[in-house]
Amino acid sequence: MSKVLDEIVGLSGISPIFAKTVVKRALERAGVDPESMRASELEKALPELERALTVYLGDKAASDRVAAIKRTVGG
Amino acid sequence: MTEGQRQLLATLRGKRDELVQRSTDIAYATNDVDLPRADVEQMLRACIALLEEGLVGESRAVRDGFLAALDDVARTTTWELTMRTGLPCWGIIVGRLAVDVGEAHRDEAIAYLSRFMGDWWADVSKVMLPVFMAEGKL
Repeated sequence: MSKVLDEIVGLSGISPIFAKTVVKRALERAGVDPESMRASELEKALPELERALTVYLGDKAASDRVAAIKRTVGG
Repeated sequence: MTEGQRQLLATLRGKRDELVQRSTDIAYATNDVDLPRADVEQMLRACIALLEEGLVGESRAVRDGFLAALDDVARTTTWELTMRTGLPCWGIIVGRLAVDVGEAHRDEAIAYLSRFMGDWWADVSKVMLPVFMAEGKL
């Protein structure tokens, strides 16, 4: 798993049981290859990522998680 | 969308957090669930989002994504526990919505929700049963 993907999965707040699948699908929908993703591609993936996290976490928690991912991974 | 489905959607959106909490409570009240409560809550929040998506009828993104996640879940649990946990949770969701949608739309809501739940469990079975069988858990 790429380092960026690993970081996003860890920060997602999604259950470790299915976090990787949820995050990978969101990245793919955004047109980003999860396995070779660079931090510079994060911005492009954020809307799909937030949509995916909202399903499992609700609006507020998903928004907070995306902000944390942006801060940590996006630099 | 019919007027009954519109009412059901509005009811669901207004009761989202309550439905998640009540259905999570029933999962823990009736079973020896070995998953953290936060994980179960996430799956039940996804069930509500799934129902919402079905009522709006414009996408399958939540359904397809949740089914992909359930393939992972199947590797950590058993079919028996999935049934013992999942069915009461859906029972709470369907029952609560059918009551709260109001008398004028209740029959339509019960019919819609029952069909929806049946279709959903058919999809869940198609995804999870092969995993349980391959792992010798069923």
